[in-house]
Amino acid sequence: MSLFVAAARLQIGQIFSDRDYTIELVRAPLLAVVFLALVRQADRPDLLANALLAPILMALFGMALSISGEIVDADRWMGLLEPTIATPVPFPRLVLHRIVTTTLVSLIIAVEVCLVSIAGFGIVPVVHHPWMFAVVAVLTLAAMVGWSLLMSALFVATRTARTFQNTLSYPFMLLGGVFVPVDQLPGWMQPVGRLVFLSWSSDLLRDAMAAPPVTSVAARTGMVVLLGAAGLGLGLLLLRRVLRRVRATGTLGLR
Amino acid sequence: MTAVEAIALTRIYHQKGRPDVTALAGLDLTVAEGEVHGLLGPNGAGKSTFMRILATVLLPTSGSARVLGHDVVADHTQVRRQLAVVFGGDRGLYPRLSARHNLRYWAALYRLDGRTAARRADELLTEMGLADRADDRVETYSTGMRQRLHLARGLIADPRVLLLDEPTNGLDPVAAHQLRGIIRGLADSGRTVLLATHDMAEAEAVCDRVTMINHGRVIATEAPRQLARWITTCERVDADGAGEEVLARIKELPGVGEVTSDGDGSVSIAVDSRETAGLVLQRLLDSGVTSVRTAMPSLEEVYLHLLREEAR
Repeated sequence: MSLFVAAARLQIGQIFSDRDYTIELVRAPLLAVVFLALVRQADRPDLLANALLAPILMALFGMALSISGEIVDADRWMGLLEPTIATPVPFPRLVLHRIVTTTLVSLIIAVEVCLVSIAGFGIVPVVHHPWMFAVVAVLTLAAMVGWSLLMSALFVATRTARTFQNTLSYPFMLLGGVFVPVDQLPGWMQPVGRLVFLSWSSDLLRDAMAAPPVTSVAARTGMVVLLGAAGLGLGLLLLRRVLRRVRATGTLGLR
Repeated sequence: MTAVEAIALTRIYHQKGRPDVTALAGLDLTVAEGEVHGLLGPNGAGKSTFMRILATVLLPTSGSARVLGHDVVADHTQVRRQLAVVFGGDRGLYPRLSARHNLRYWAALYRLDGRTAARRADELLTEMGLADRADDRVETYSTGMRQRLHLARGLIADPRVLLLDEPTNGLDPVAAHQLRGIIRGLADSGRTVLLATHDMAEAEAVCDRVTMINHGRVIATEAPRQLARWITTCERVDADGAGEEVLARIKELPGVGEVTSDGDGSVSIAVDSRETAGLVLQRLLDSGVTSVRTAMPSLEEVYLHLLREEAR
């Protein structure tokens, strides 16, 4: 069994054996119902892309925080970190495989939201620029993996995962333009929002669903790649440093 | 060939606002390949710290340690390929996954291919008596079953060196006996086993040699036969209702050490051999004292004895 398959099987088993981990799979369709009902009530078909993408991106980010971010911390809590580190497998690679699996599992949410839209509201989501949408979606997922790794390392470094998680969740989604495009946030907030890869991703995905041609594609997708890579690089660096530090301080196995 | 070698190994824990804690203070130890070596000491002696350094999950403050010739700091990848560690306790397995799933996952971490992993998992589940429950979630297992699964996890990649950190901790006597039998069986396969324990009887039953450590230092390394001698040497006789007169006569016996009375009529008499214990018992019974018993020494008592010996 390859390492990826083993890590994927483990992670899928973990996700579906814990109700807390599947909460986003329940919340996302409910949020989709609320957003789509609001769009219909306000008679704003121009906001359909927002209503469809918001619950998906929220859930993707939520799963990245709650599941991927907790991978290392949960293993530590269960006394698994020390025996895992003591194996020949490079630990960051193992964590990455598990995060990729979680991110792929979270794609179920996109299917759920589409089903809600079609079955509940009779709206078939239309993507006017499908290739661009696909490319941006893949890049967004890759960036999500990078930032999940960073959060995973941060959670070990701080050992206050839950507080960190709860504090970060909504501000990041707001700054990521998940609910409202960053351009419509107060002026001082916009530069901060542009540091969050989600702000570029959500804008591009909304634009790819709309009919007008998408402008500055290369620069904007470049920002998703750049910020995603920054998250991945920082995550790897931090995870290695944190592991070295906890091995030195003797706190690797502490809860 | 030397399987494990520690030279002047020191580990100091620095804690903010508290004094430093020296867990290992220049520990020197050599374990030959194929040996089952016991590491005996009370809680806080430094056993687990030593295990963690060998398992490469903790860095030493100074000194060096080698496993099969590989330095645990500089060559930690080589060490990890040939060594497995089993920490005691309930933690250390994915509780919501089955035993089989857990073992296959760990097999992948040691780069075993799918077929080999499945075969090894089946073999070990049978060997550990878990085959019937192999597909049940680990969270439904008893402590004894979990400990056996821990051991199976440690053996999945057939490591040349196996570290067992108090594997029978928390087990009932039957489960502990069963696990000791399995550990003894490992020696026959030519594996090197380093067993940390605070149970003298366990060390005596399982190990080829035993090292006693305290405060991070080696006190003595001996064969279990010598361990049995230590125990006998520190044996004592406890009695209730022994009068001053009989105690005075007992103190005159050769080989009788300290006689301590706790004020409520019970007395504890240290003896240096089984023969002396027999004489003491005889004198007590002759004087009409019927509430008498011999007691094995505690680990601490043996330590005190060894430290006194060392000081002479």
